[in-house]
Amino acid sequence: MEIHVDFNAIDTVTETLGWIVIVFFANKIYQKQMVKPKVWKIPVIILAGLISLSINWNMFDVIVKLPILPLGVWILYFVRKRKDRAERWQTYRSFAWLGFGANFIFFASTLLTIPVHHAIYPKDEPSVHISKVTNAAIIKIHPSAKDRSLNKDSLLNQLDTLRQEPIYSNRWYEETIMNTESNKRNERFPYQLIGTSSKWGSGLHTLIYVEEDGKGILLSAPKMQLYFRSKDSLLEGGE
Amino acid sequence: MTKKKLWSLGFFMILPSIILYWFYFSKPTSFPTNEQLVEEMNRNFPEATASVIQETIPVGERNVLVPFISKRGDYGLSYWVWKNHKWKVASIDTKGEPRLWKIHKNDPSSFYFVWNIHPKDQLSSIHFYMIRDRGYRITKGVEHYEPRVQMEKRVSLQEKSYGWMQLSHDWVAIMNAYRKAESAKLPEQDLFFGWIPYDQMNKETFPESSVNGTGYSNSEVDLEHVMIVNRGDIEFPR
Repeated sequence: MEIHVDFNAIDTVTETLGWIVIVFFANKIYQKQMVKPKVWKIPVIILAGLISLSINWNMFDVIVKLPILPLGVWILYFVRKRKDRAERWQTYRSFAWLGFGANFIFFASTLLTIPVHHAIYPKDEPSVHISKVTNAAIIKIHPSAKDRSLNKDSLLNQLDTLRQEPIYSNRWYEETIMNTESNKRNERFPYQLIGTSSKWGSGLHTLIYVEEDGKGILLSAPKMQLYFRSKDSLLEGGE
Repeated sequence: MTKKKLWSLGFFMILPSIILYWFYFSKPTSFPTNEQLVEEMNRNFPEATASVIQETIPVGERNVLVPFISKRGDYGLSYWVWKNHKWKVASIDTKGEPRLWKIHKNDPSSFYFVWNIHPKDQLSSIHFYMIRDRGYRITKGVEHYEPRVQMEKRVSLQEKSYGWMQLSHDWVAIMNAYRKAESAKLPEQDLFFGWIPYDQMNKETFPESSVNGTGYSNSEVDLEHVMIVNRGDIEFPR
């Protein structure tokens, strides 16, 4: 098993920032209060306050959670109210609401990550998806592929000069299946590039197909595809 | 007094840990004898009518594949797992059509094709496939093209009726790439596994005696069905 350091750096940073903001507010509330609650209870109350009914909303392929109902606050209210006298609830109430409010802090920070992520890791640049090629290799995924291997230098040298071109998905599909017996079909992208990694911290995982002539690359994610052509072949050997 | 307390506390902490470790994590003991295997299989699943053990094949440290012949003359497969400090039969198939045994669900390099083909079917080879269909879609003007994946691995059946084969490096690499890239979508993508049986004349055939068995499983094993595909559904560009 290989160990993968693979995380989304920007998400990690904004999440940390979010928690710093929450701790800041918690401290502010604490300082202001006349009757101080037990300190160890504060994080518990905040975490419980976080519980909420929220709607998941897909924005530019990022799932953002928009909180609606403060379930945690309600639960705490009933538990605390029954247990203690009402005034005890007063000392914890602000922290419970801060917990619920934390949802909005994270909501805002997720919204913020979208343009930031886009600026640091522009998805339409191949070098974001193919950053390290040390362990790169080509695999034949279809029998129409020829015995050829990856030319790493060619790939590295051309990464910045690849031309983006439109994807004609249904034309490619039709061209492949028409005028050929079903048994004799070729695949337009019979190779897959593996072992590359995306830019550090981007958290991107892209499937990379290579065209039969070795001069086309199809970057494929569940919700996005990009197609690039190169001047020279990325493959060597074979013919 | 306090020393005594400490001792008893230590005792009551350590003893259960040792027992738990022994029960769940200890290394397997020697594998049961063939007679014991037959007996356990027939006790758990009388329909198996197991009679002859062909071989015991360790697959990893805690898993053993046991091909067997039944009283009825069927060639079957049984799957043994070391669990709770005991060798247990986790699954039995009375017939040995190929399956994919996933030892660790999330690690394709631990997947094995296993089979036990009845000699009466006279197969000379099996071709295994990993396939994903070619496709395209256009949603709101955004185009998406899915290349066809069709990878093949041939296995000769000349020597033994049974066999096992780990997924090759290339297959594992492709599966891992898909799992990572599509984890946002569906956990298991559209990759599927198939096989084509070939007879002595290298003609596609149907192995009557090796399919449609009955099975027993206590759900501790992950066995994927490998379906028979038609030659017509396979692309042979050259």
